[in-house]
Order: sequence, then C-alpha cells, then structure tokens
Amino acid sequence: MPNPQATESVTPLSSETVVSISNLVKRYGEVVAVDHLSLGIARGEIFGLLGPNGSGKTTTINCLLQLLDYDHGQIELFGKPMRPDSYDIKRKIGIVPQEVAVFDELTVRENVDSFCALYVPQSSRRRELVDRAIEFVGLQKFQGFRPKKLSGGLLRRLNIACGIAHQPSLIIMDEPTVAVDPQSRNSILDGIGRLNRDGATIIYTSHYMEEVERICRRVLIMDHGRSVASGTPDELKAMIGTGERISVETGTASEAIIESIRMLPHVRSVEFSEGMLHVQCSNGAHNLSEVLGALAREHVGYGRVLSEPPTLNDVFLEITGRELRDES
Amino acid sequence: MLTSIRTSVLALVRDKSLLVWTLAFPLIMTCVFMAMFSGFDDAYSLVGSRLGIVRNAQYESVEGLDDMLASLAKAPKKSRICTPTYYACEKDARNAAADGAIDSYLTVGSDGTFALHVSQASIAANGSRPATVLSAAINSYVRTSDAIVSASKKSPELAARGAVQAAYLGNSVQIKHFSATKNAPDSYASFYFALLAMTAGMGAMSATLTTKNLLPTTSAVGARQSLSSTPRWRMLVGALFGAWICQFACMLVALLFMATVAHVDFGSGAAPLVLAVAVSSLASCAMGSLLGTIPHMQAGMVSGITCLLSLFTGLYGPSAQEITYALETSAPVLAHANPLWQISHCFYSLLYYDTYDSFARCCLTLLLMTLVALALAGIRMRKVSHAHL
Repeated sequence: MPNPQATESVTPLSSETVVSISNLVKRYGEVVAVDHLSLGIARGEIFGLLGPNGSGKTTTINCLLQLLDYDHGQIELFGKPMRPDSYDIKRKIGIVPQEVAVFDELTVRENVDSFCALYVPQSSRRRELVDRAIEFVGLQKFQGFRPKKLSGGLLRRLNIACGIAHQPSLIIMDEPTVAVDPQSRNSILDGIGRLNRDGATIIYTSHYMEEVERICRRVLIMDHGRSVASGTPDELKAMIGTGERISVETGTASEAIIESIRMLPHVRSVEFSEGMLHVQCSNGAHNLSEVLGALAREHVGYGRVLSEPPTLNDVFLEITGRELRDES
Repeated sequence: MLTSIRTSVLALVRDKSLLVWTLAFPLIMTCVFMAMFSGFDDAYSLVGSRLGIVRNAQYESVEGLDDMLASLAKAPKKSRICTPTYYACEKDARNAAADGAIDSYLTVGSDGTFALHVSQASIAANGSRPATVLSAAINSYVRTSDAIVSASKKSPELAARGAVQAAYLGNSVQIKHFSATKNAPDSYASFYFALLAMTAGMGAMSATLTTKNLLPTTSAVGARQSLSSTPRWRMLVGALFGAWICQFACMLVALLFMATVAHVDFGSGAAPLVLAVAVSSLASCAMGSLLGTIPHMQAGMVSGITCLLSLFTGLYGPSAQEITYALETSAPVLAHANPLWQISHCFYSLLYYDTYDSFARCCLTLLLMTLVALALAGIRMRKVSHAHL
C-alpha cells in the first residue's frame, strides 16, 4: 500500500532501472533529513540531483551507498537490495566526491592505481585501466607528480580518474567542478558526456545550474528532504510561471514607461537599474516586440536588447525560494 | 591486499613528519644518551697519571719503591694508575711538569719523606683524582713498608726467613668477578630499552594515520575507500601490515644503531632480537589502529600518550626508574598493562635472564594486547562506517 506521505516519485525513462529508492526516510533525532523520497534512475541516464544546502542530497547519496543507516524505505541498485556488504554491487559504483580525495604522498599514477586496486585485484588488468583513466582525464604528462604539485583543475581531474578507473556502471559525482576554471570545467563536463556515451549511468549533484542543464537528461530538485520537482530540464522550465527575461539598455526610464510596460499582457515584473530595463514575462509568452513597441511609443531610445528564455536557475530559485539557507 | 600494503608503506615512507618521529627521533635520542652517558663514564673512569720520578740516591735507597711503581705501570691500560718517567734531578722533573710532559713527579727527601708534586695544569685538565689515587697507592706502600720494618725489628729471626714480609704482602684482598645475570649488568642499557619502547610507541602514529585514512568520518580518502568493493577488514589488515613493515624497519634501524654506534649490549643472538622487534612493532601498530578509530584522535595525542607511558618504563632518569619500580612492586598488574613496559622488559629479559621464559611471557602478553586492540579496532571501524557519519 503506498505511503500517503510519499512525495512525488521519479520514474526512469528506460525500462532497466539502475537505482531505485522508495519511501526513503532518514531522521537525525527530531530533524527529518530525507522525507519519504522515491526515485528511479534508468541505465544510461545522467541524472541531476539538485537542492539547496541542507536539502538532503548528500544524506540521500550516503544512504544509497549504505554509509548511513536509514529509518525507512528500500534501496535497490542494479535490481538488488543494497546492503553495507553488497560488494558485488559496490564493484559497479564509482564515486567522485566533492572534496578531492587522494593520498598526498602518492603520485598521480599511484593514486589512480591505489583506488583502482580496491576494485580490480589483477595487476595486469589494472595497469590497462589506470592508463585509460589517466588518458581519459588528460593527466599523462603529470603521472609522476604528487597532488600538491597539481593545479586545482588538474586535482579535480585526478579526483575523477580515481573514481572511474575501474570502469563503473554507476558513477556518483558530487559537485566535481567546484573551484575550477572554465577551461577545466568544460573539459570535465565533456568527460562526463563521454563516460555516459560509453554506457555509464551518472548521478550528478551541483550548484551550477547551467552545468546540470547542459549534461543532465533528468533532474530532481530536493528541498527539506523531499522531492519538490522532477523531470527533464524543459519539463521543469514549463512547470514554473517564469518565462522569458527581456533586458533593454535605455539609459533612463520614467515611471510612466515602466507602468505602461507593466500593463502589457504576460508581463510579471518590471525593474529599472543601472541603465537597464529588466522585464520578466510569464511562461510560454514572447513579449519582445510588445516591449520594444511600448518604448517606441514613448519615444525612448534603446541600445542593447537581450531576450533570455528561463533557465534551470530560475526554476531552482522559484521552487526552492530565494532566502539564504545556511543562515536559516 | 598487496596494493593496500604498498599504498600504506609508500604513504608512510613519504610522510616526512612521521619519519622524524619514528626514525630520526630514536637515532637522535640515542646520540643524546651517548653524550650524556659518556660524561658519566668519564666522571667515574680512572685517569692514569704521567708520573715523573726523581731517581736520585735517596730514591734508590728506599727498598721496594721502584718495584712497586714499576708494577703499577705494568697494569692494563684501563686500570693503570701511572706511567713513570725517570729524571736525574728535581729540576729536570719540574721543567718536564711545566712543559706538560708529566702531570706530577715524586721525590724522596734526604730524611726519607716522600713528596708528590702535582702541576696546576694537570689538576685543571684531569682534576685532583689521579693524584689522590696515586698518593693513596704510595701511602699504602709507605705504611706497609713501615709496618714490615717495625715488625722485623721486633722479630729479626722471622724477618731473616722472610716470614714478616710474606705475612704482610700475602694478606691482601683478591678481587674475583662473578655475575648473577646472564650478561654483565649495564646501568645504561635499561634507558636504551625504554627508548626502544618509546620508539615503538611513536610508531603507533603510523597505524593511527593509516587507520584514519580508512574511516569515512575522518577524511575524504577514508570515505572513498570505505565505499569500495574491498571489505573493510581486508583494508584494515593491509593498512596495519603496511604500518607494521615501516615500524619494524624503523625499530630495527634504531636497534642496530644502538648496538653498533652506542655499543649497547643486547645480549642474545639476532633471532630473538628480531622477534622482539617484530612483536613490539606489531603491538604498537595494533594500538595505533585502535587509537585511529577514536574520533578526533590526532598524531600529537598519540605521541603524548607515548610520552606518558614512557614515564613508567624509566626512560626519564633515576626518578622515573624509582616510580617504575614502585609501580612494579605495588601494582604489578598496572605496570604490566603498559605495552611500553612490556616492550622494554622484552629486551631486558633477553639481556639478563638465563632462560627465555620471561621473554616469551612478554611476547605472549604483547600478542594478546595486539589481538584485543585489533578486535576493538575492528568493532569500532564497523560502528563508525555504518552509523556515525
């Protein structure tokens, strides 16, 4: 019998489910960290798990990996119940933690080999896998370097190599691009795409919404331990009231002009700041010509004009709110 | 598991701060002990005096004096009281003393009195002990000689037969050496054994660090390792074995350094010593593993515990040895529960005991401690990984 408290579940697109969580509940004393969460992830997906700080993402992943006991619910990976000693399942999982988790005293190659050895005991097979992982992240020139000699971007790449060297079927990436430059981030995101094309299912958590939008096929947004929205990025954008955002460089804008634009159909809000007029429209509507027409009628000249569709960031902020979570 | 061991060894060997405590520290302390103890040795050792003898008529007239001094000069170098040089007159002897060629010179006056002239330079260099020892020997000769002369006057018949001389000279104390222990006692050896125990204790840091690297709650590396498909016990055994290899090597180097450079007598052959080092390092690693499972345990805290336990091995000097002895006699169970005491006693047993009974008891106790520590570490690791994140 379904739990009446169960929140919206996410059903996988493919018939072959790699991750299945149903009615997961995890409490820390009185605090409910995960509240009847259900989700399913199909083989070959890149699944985005989003949420503000403290929303329960990491707790969910820790429960998924059996690092934490949980109070209620079922977790199945690859069709089998996940337990702390499910080593056959763990063999198929790769972890890329948010914090760079490598041995400072070992070289790049030794690090990758060391973590790979926890899954692949045969040294000849491992040598091949380590070569491939190092090549995959482009660290061939740095094989003999110790982590302290590597830049932030190279360290992140090493962190990824350590998590994927044993060629896992399910890769869990927890904010793998934190504090890296745009070039490295681009390289990492390309790499994730390649891993996925090679058949890996990926669970990706990040606070960079444009990354999630770029690589994730489906997204689940968590807040207060519950699933508050899920679907493809387009589906999520369609769920919210926010639509196109129009920015016009006007130099000046009188109250009358702002009011006349505000009266246009589908306009939700109008702001003028630092020489830019920002118009937020309702979802599904295209108001650029109406806004420019209103300016023309009032004889207001304009320079640059930008029209942006809603982003996942808008979705995230509309669903989870704009108040600061770490301070609440 | 081989890779776990290799990883652990590489990480420990390349950790310079750890090497300072486990390898450099015992070597440095051995040098410090050598410097300290050599000072004590010098203070209590016999320094032979370079004695000038004014060989004039008065000197020649004293019967047996020259023979006595010659016999002192023939003694082995370590126990030689003086090395005589003869001068024709006092002036020559004084000049030689002034030039530093001799420390003192002996004259016999016209009235038959003896005088030992000691140069100030000699006293400044060697203290007054050499002259005091030499004067005591000459005084003994003079008194014995006077007694023989006096007795000979009273009994000329006995003196004529040489019986008086035989009675005085034959009745001397003979020194015979014996030992209640297998090897001669070395007052400093126990300090080195305590230092080896402390080295083992410091080595526990290696196992503490490798164990912490396996715990998901203490480091990102720990979290990553604990999520792998390798069972936790295998990783623990691998890490422990790696730490043990490093610790065993460090202790062995320290022991060899003590034996070859500081000339510490370890008594027994190589095999029992290697066994002692192996058991000691294994026990310390097991303790380190247990400490590594305690939240917020830092390497500095391990060294603090080691320093405290070392107090009860007598490492810190005579006062600490008195405390250790008091604990051994009043609360032996408490003393024996100290793994560093067991390690120190392990080496002590090898040096002083005729049989291996005491050594075997120490080894078995350490192995028992190892098993208990590992069992507790295993239980704690399981708890930490599954419930305390």
